[in-house]
Amino acid sequence: MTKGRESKDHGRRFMRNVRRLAYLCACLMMVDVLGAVLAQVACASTPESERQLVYVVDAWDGRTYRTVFAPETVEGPLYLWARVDNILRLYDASVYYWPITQEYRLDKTSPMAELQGSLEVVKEGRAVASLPLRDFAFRVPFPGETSSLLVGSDATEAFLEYEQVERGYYDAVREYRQAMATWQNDMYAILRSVSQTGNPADPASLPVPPQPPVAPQYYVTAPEAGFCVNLPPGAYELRVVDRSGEVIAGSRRRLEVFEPRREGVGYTIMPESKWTVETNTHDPGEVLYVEREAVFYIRATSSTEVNELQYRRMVSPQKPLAGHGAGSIWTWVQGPDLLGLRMELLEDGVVVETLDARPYSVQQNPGPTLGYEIIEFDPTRPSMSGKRPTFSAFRIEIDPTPGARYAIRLVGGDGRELPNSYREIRVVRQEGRDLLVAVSVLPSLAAVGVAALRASRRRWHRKSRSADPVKDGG
Amino acid sequence: MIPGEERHRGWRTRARAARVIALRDLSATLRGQGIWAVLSVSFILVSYLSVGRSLWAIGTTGIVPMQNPFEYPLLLITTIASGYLTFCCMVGIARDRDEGTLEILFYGPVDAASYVAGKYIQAMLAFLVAAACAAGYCLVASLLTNLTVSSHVLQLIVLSFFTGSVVIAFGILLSIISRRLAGSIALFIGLMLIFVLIDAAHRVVLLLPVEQMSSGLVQVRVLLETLNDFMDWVSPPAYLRRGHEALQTGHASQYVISVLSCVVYTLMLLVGAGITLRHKGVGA
Repeated sequence: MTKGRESKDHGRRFMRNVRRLAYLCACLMMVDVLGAVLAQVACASTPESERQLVYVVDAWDGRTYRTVFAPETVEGPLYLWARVDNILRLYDASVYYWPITQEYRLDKTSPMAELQGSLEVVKEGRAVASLPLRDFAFRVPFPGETSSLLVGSDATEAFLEYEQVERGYYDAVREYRQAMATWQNDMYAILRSVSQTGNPADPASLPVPPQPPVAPQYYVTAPEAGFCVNLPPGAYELRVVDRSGEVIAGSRRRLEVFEPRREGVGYTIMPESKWTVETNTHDPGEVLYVEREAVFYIRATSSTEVNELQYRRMVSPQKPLAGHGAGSIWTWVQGPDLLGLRMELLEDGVVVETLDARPYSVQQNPGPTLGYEIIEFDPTRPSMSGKRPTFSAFRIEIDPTPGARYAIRLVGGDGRELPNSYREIRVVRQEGRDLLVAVSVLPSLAAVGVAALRASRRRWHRKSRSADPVKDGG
Repeated sequence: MIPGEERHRGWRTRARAARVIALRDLSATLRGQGIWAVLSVSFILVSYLSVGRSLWAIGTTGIVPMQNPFEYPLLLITTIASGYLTFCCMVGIARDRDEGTLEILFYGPVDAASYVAGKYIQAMLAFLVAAACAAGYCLVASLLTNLTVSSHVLQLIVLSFFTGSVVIAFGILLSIISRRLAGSIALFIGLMLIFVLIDAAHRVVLLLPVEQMSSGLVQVRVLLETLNDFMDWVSPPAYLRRGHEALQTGHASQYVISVLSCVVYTLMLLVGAGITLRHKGVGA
């Protein structure tokens, strides 16, 4: 009885503690919600700016360069990609916190002053590099494509060259306009003569219309001065030393330089039936599963696997919460497109087709009917003139033969396979699913069968013993 | 004081006693319907939830990249099997103690070490049978659906064998620590749930974009990460996850470290169980 009462008391105490814990959790959640609401209300007020030293970083993010800034008020180190040129600049700027997006922003209405000097990189208390300010510029192709960093004399030369190209283009445009005006006048004169005489003009005598010049397919930014940082992985400290040799106060910052865990070849696969639904494969160990005959458009890119925390902190150093709690996650970053390679389609290990990446255009069906058609891009066709292709990719058509094994791989100009580009393609059998469920019950059926067999043998033994009393000892 | 404990017993006697206990219990486990029913249920679950889902995704999307479609089926089957075998082991120990069998055994050539070893070896042998069945299921499923069984499967079976060994040793220790069967099972299930839930909660919180979180939620996320770091040392599922990640990324050294950690952890748990049994005695 006493034991029973004790266990009841224990049970009550336990339930009371559980209730208290639940109340505590509910209170914490309410405080959290209230905090979020207050943060939203606080957004209505004008944020206050403060002057501080910020590092403006042109960081390589695995695909292209992106410009971010790291305010002094955000704790934690700066993160940079290892063994790649990154640009750092130190500014005295006005910064304010914007609670809606939970990030610091530069107050561009206030003046920003770039601080001169040299950047010292310190590792384990010892200066390992002293980097002077150098000119840099970016060569930017079309939006979305990978820009390249030019440093030193390359930057100034590329910019001068681009200025020449740009001037040449505008000169060509001016000439084109003049030629166009002349051509229009000539055509007008011919039309007037035809209308006056009534005699048709000889088509061979008609003037050829001028062709518009092709605009430059890239641009180069004007050179600026910055510290070009290219370091092996590790933990460092940064500080800027002015011309008198003094460390500029507020310029000290911890720096973590990281490298990818794995590198590979990524494929972005677009089925012809749903070209907007892309499937990505980065891991070289992945197998591509298909079900039936299909056409796929495949774009090849480089890929790198990086730590989520390091990557998030690198691309968003102005966000105090970016990457927090994600130190154990690894993520694939799609790199620049791989150009100048060919794709081989293999069937049972034998190359059956070699493909080049071609530009394609997605044409919507005319009229009210929904649908589209993917056709090879041809700038000479009137419907595509003056347009750019929707995408460039390898077109692969799989017509599955039962039992056949398919694969794709990339090869260079020398015919050598690009490492990590091999992917097996397998055609699945959907009908196997139902059979699999039937197979699943086999262990139980077999166990029941064996048990029944043993029981019947036991019965048989018992019967035979009762039928033979001598054997039974009776 | 355990009766007969004062007598000196050589390792050979202990090994023989452990072998007898292991073979007797193994025979009972394999002749029973339970393990086969558990395997069938786990196969059916996996056929619908994992293999069926993969096939459905391929049919819907047109193309799906997968590294090893039988990874999760295999892990699920071996996890269920190790859970069941641990449960059987715990029930067996509790029954031996409650019915007085343990006391009788300890009057004979059995001591704490040989008893714990016998129970553990029995469960591991049964687990080997279950793992072989799981591998067979994967091969049959691969033949039927043409989903590939990668070379990782063998390494995964080895890994799940060692993580299963940790779970079983954990169960043995708990059943010896706790006097009551219900208590030990509740403790085992509770601890496993805590291990799995913290890991799951951490993964769920990681899915939320941190930039859109309130600072309170971010603190929860950081707290969960700290807890998860701690769990990495004590939770058997964490050992499995680490080894699995090492396999996926091709880090052979990490894989070997995971397996060796499981061995060390299992030994610690079994030694703990033997010492506890020796100190607590065999009475119900």
